[in-house]
Amino acid sequence: MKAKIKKLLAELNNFARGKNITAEYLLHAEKSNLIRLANSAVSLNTSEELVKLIVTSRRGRRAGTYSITTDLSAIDRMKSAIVSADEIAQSADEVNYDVTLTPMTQLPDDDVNFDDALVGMNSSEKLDFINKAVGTLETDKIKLSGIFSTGAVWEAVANTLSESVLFHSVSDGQISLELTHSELKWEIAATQSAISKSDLNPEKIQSQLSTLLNIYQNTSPEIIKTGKYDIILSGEALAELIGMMEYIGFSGGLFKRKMSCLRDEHLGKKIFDDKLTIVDDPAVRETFPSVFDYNGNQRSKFTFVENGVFKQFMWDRDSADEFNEKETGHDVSGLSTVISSGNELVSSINDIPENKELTLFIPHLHYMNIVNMTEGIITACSRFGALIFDKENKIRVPFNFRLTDNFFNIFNDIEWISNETVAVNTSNSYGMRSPAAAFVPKFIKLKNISITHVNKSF
Amino acid sequence: MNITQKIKVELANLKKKGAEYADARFYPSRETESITFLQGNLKECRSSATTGIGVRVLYNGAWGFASSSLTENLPALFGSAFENAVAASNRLSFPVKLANRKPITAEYSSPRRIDPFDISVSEKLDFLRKIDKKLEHNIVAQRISYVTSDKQKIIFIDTDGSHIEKNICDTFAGMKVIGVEKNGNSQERSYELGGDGFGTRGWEALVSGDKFPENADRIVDELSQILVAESAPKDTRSVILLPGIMFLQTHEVIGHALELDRILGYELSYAGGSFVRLEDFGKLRYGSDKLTVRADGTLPNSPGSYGYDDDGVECQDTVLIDKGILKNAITSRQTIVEANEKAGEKIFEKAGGCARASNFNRIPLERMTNINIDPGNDGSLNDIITSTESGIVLDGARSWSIGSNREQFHFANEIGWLVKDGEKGEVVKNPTYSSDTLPFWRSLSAVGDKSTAELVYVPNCGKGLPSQQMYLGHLIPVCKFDNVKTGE
Ligand SMILES: [Zn+2]
Repeated sequence: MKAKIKKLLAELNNFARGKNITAEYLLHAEKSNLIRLANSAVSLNTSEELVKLIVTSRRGRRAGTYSITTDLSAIDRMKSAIVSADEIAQSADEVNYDVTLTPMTQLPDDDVNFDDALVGMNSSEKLDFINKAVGTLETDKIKLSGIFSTGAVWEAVANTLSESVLFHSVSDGQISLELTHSELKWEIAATQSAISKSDLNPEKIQSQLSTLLNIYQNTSPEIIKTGKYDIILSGEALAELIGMMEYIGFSGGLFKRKMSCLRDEHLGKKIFDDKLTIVDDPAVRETFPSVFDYNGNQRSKFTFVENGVFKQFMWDRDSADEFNEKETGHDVSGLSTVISSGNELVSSINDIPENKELTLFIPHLHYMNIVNMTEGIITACSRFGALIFDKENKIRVPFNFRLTDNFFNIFNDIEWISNETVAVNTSNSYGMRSPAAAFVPKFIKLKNISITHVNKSF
Repeated sequence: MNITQKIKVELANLKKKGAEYADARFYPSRETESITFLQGNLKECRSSATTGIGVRVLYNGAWGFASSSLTENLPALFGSAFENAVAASNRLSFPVKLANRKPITAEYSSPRRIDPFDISVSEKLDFLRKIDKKLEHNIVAQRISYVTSDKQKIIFIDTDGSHIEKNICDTFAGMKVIGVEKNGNSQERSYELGGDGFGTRGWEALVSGDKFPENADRIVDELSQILVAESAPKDTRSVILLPGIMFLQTHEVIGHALELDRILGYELSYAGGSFVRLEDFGKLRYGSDKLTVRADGTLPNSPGSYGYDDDGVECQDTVLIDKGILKNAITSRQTIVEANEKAGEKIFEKAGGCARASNFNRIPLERMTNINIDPGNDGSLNDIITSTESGIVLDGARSWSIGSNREQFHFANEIGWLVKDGEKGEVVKNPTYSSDTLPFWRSLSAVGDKSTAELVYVPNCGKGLPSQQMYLGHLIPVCKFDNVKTGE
């Protein structure tokens, strides 16, 4: 696939150069398989193969984009896509700023994080994994749901200013298994992210599920009161929260468009607890990194927050052009988010240190949304196995509850961060396959968070 | 042999190999175009073309699916779907059975006079440039306007002998203005193209009348009021929801809650379940007796009307909630059989024609058609305001977050107008409201008449894994709910 894609893009680039078209391209191929489970059965077993060419023609400050989803062999259709993009560019309006397009420097192929064994896993191997991970935890009342998704992405980028073709490929696996009581309706979950087959560990999933299952089966749920609580988040919940903050906080373009909760006055200032450090680090393999962005910029470690201090905005090329800033290699489908681990020796919920106040544990956040972008207010519900740790560290079970607060408060006072880390797969499957994961502490304890609604049932 | 003949051969082969049922959806062409102006700059001018086939096979009660944009090797594609079904049948709890229906040979075209793809890029840019100019104002910090069009040709063929060809063209368009308060925080106001369920929705739907110029003036004016407004109160009061938020209230907390696959637990690994149980049908008081809700796929003109679903079942008009009582659900051939068997009674008479896939590479799922609320007898918006002691009129969807079983929700709006003793008063900023689901719908105390109703288009309803984004509609009047928690 690698040779095919590189050769094809080089040929398309030659075609455009021959026609005097100035163009840039992304050629994307993917292979996916997803097993979905519901009611302890496979509800869907699906395979997909897809090839997509996205071409943008540039005529100075005018641009037109054309994309086609088609066969790799459909070279004539791809060539006409280039011509179509150029026709759109001819009709397009000029933007009111200069547009950057630079020759791409050839970089070595970025395919070290590709594992044929993971991509080649067949359905029965996956079902074996699922059976091992769940073991004997299913009953006639406790039903299994979940997904086991594996796939591969091959991508090449180029533009007509050089003959370079930059190539990136990555394999990825995402597992999430949930156990639900069909009558009582409570749910617990465990997830795993894999970049190679050897990352897969069914025993780990089983251990997480059994711990939570044991608590949920033997404890009556209770309705908590609304108000301020100390909260422990799992790595999954933390990754989701930070993902949202990256979106409404760290983008220079969004800041200039008055839609960001972080602004220039926050630069260099301490805005969060000094235990919090957030970087984008393409050297961390667990994040399915790409070492270059779609413009061919080499990516390197980029610090957003260091010991609570906001360091810098990221700039995609178009925003950098419009607002006269320097692009930072962030035209990517997903960041390589890494949050620094802490000193607290916590490997599982059994190791949670004693709490001075009644503390809530949120393993997963459900349906997060932004209530107010510039004030950084979000809302989301607990899901998949929330817990109460009371002052004696006795574990109880709450019905789900809603958290509504702003990022400045959420990360203002961090009591501790666990020493162990975990890769959290944050890929979504809209549009093109684009594996993404955050590498984060397994647990974090936050002080004084607003719980604004409590459920009276599951 | 042309490709449809080849598909028929492959489907017949699947039957020979032991498949109980199989269907294929072939997309000879799907074209999209999107154009976006941001702050006077043409930020996006993009077209796309897609070709592909999706194959669904039922074997021993289990589904296998395979899809490809590579249409040259059909035996491999159909074989892969079959193997996936065989593998899936190794872990079964309730074998899939499909409700009977007669095979159909039919065609469907969505109503349009002017194909948006026949309009030149320059003409579309002219249209948006005018809107962009209209939104330019000293209080507007950012202005955005967009048009997207999507034209799909879909050929559905199944092993029962169905052959359905659909030509569906949708156009979505809208605009938004963002302004900055003195304290540096931003506010927004937006408008999206909608309709009334009739007429056509080709390019003519955008350019006829003065929808965009008039609403551009209105949203800029309202933004100017929000920017100097006080914060919305934090208390308990009546909320009067205009269609610009009432559609989403209905979508999230009736539509999704009544998808039968959710009720049966098929979405627990992602979107969630539903508080509704099979024993609730025919009995549960979902809302006050002013609440009648239907899933109406027969509305002549809406993104939620598509002729025939991807089960090969004709679109229908189904009453979901009748005078407050839960009656029916959003259903497919698979789920009604399972639900009826599990309930031990025939709750659902026939498949609701609601199984839809968002593209060739996705499997059909229960999706909303047009989930509409019947207009009521409580008059105009003014009449509803006049009868309100302490309330707030709300519009615009800024944020929505719903419990995993749709048992509770939280919404944030773009704008609110306080109502005191029957008078509409000043604008307030940052309004929010939240509630448990059933107490909320049971507190429905007024439903506006037909004059208050609008068909709101939804281009982005997300569901399923692999994820699917679906188009649909909601024809919704103004509604009032009492004793609702606001401002949190
Ligand atoms: Zn939806």
